Amino acid sequence: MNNMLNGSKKNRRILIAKLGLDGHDKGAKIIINFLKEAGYQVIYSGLHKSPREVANIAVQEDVAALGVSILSGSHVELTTELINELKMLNFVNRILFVGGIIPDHDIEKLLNLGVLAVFPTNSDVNEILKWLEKRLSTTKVC
Amino acid sequence: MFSSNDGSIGAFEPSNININNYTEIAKTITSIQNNSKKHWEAISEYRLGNRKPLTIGVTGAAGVGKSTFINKFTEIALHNKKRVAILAIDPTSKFSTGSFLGDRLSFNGNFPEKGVFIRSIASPLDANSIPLSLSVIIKFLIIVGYDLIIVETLGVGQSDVEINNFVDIVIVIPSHESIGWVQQMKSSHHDIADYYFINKCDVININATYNSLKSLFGMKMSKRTFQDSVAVGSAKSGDGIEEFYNRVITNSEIADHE
Repeated sequence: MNNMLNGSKKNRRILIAKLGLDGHDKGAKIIINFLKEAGYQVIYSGLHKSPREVANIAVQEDVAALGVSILSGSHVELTTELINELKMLNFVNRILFVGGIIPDHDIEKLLNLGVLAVFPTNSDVNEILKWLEKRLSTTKVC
Repeated sequence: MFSSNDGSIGAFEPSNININNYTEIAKTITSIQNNSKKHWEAISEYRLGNRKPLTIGVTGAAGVGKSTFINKFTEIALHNKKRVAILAIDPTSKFSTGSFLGDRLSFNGNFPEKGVFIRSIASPLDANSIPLSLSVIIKFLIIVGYDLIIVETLGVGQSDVEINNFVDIVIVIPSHESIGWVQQMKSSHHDIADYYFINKCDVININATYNSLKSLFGMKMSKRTFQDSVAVGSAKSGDGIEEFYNRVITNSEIADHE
C-alpha cells in the first residue's frame, strides 16, 4: 500500500518484450507480475517478436523502460538490431535492460551496445526492482 | 488537476503532428494523461471541421474475445483503407496500483507497420472504469488524422456503461455464461448496445445466446431492431466479421447524412 503514496510512480510504464524465436516466457511473466505488484504499468509484447515490432510497441506505448528477455542465444544480434530500430524511431533517453540466458562473456558486449543492465538467469527479482527504481528516479524521460 | 510543467517548451499545436510520427503522438498522449493544461486546452479548442471520423467502443465481460474481435475488425478496416487507432483499457489493481496491460497480445504485431496506432491504457484508481482523459486522447487522434478510433474497455460487469459517453457506436460482445433472462434483465448493457456480436460460433453452440437476445429485444426498448443489431461469428476464425464490419460502417455513414 506504500505505493499509493508514491506519486512519482504514477506514469511509469514498462515494456517487457520477448525477442526472436524463443518460446519460453516464464521468466518474463514473473518479472511482469513482480513489477505490477510493485505498482508499475506493465505492457507485455508477447512471444516471437521482431526487433522492429518491439521498437514500435515501445514507442507507441511511450514506456520509460524496456526490458527484453532472450533465452535463444542470439542476444547480441537481436539487441543490436533492437537498438538500431529504437534509434531510427528517435526513441532515446530510456532505460534498456536485458535478461535471460546470457553467458558472462557476453554481458560486457551488451553493456557496450548501450544496455544499462544485464540480469542473467538466477538474478534476484528484488535486485532487479531495486535497480529499476533507482534508474527511473535518476533518468529524465522526455 | 492540471500540471503546467509538462516538460516541453513552447506552444502545442495538435494539427502539426504527423500521423507517421509515432514518437510524437505517443509523447503527446502521455502529456494528456499527465493532465498537461496546454495539451488539454489546445485539443479542446481545436475545431474538427467537416471530417467524419467514427469512434467505436467494444465492451463485454473478461474473456469474451474483445481484443481478438478488434484484431480482425482492424484487419478489415485496413483493407478498406481506413486509418485506425486502438485504445485498449486494462484494469489497475486497487491494491498494488500496478497494472498488466495485455491487450496487445491479441493484436497483429504488424499493425504499427501498417499505420495502426495502439495505446494500452490503465484504468483509473477511482470508481470509474475509464479515465476522463480518454475523450481528449480520442479527439487528439482524430486531429492527427485517424478516421476510425476503436476503444476496448476492460472486462466489464453488469453496470459498466461509461463507454457510451465516449464513443459514437458501442459493440457489446455478450458472454455465453450470462444469457438467462434474469441476467439479461439486470444488465445495463442493452441500454448502450448499438450492436451485439455473438462470438465463438466455431467452438460454442450459440443458439441459446442468440435466442436469449432475441427475446430480450422483444421485452425491452432498443436503439435498433434485433435484425439490425445482432451478428454471429467468430473473431478467431474471422467468420462473420467482414459482413459485420460492412453493416456497422454502412449504417454509420447513412446516419451521417441524415
